[in-house]
Amino acid sequence: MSLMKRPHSIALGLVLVALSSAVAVAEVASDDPAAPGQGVDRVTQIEEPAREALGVLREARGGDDSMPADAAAAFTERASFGMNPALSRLAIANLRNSIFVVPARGHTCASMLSGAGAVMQCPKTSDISAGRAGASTAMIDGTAIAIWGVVRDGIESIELRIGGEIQAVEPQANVYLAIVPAGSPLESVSYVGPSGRVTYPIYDPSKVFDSEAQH
Amino acid sequence: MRVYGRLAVALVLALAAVGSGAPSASALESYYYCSLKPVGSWCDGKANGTYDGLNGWDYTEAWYPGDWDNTVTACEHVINPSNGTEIGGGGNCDLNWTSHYYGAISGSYEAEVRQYSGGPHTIYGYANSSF
Repeated sequence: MSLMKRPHSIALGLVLVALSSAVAVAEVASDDPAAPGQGVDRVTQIEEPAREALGVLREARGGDDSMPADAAAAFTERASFGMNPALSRLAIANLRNSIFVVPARGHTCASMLSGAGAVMQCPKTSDISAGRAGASTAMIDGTAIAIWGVVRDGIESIELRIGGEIQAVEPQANVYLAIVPAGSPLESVSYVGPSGRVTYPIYDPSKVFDSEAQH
Repeated sequence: MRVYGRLAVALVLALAAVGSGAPSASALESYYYCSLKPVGSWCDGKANGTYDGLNGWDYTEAWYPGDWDNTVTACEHVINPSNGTEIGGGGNCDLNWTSHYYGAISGSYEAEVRQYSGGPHTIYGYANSSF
């Protein structure tokens, strides 16, 4: 090969590298419509309003309080609301669906283990303090629905309305959890706190085919 | 022979470059945003997403971008559109914001978000295949 031809082959390679890099950038380019809680500094200690509202966060952290490593790593990487799984506390120990309270900045998150992963909720700490935090619902193995949430100290009973019937649930360590069969006609969660009685609707996540995806 | 050698090097470079730019399960993010979506209607990754397609989504979020006055519930799930199979045992919902880490997922799935409230509301979502 002559000296004149060598640059051509190198240039060809470089052009293709540049083109493929442009494609890769286009695929991962972020057009983030202000995902909430992003860019918030990670908390390094539990914020005082959260400690005041939740007794579970005033307890010393022990070995059982750690979330599974892969879930903790994922939520640490995303770091929504500055959450810090390294400060988590185990609230409900359950064979398959344990729930951890995870401190964040201005929010107090809670994560329920589910299968190989975990579902996360992050109500504002001010809403928890005021007794105005709602409930999460999550499918479990396609056969049951978990209904769970975080409440401040002093809230002793949660009322779930399902199919016209009231089911009372007692929080443990500031967290309540009820597991009902899939297809249960969920209606609402209700409790009495500093803001008086609050009632929030709850929804069945399994209603996958109620409507087709619309673009 | 030397010409073929140079061409071979260039070809290897080109193939490596193309390979690095191909969609992979370890490098994709998608944002979904649907304005004034009717109650209960899924908003999927084809709605202005940065990656328009199926993937093995490891992590998703759904949220209501308006004031968090506890009137809008956000839901999300990840589903194989060809057979209806959901990963992680199914979806999840909460007031304002919810997220789900599924583990290391491979395969072709669609992440979708929806909202429940008293009427049409904007709903946003996010999916990441690299967690």
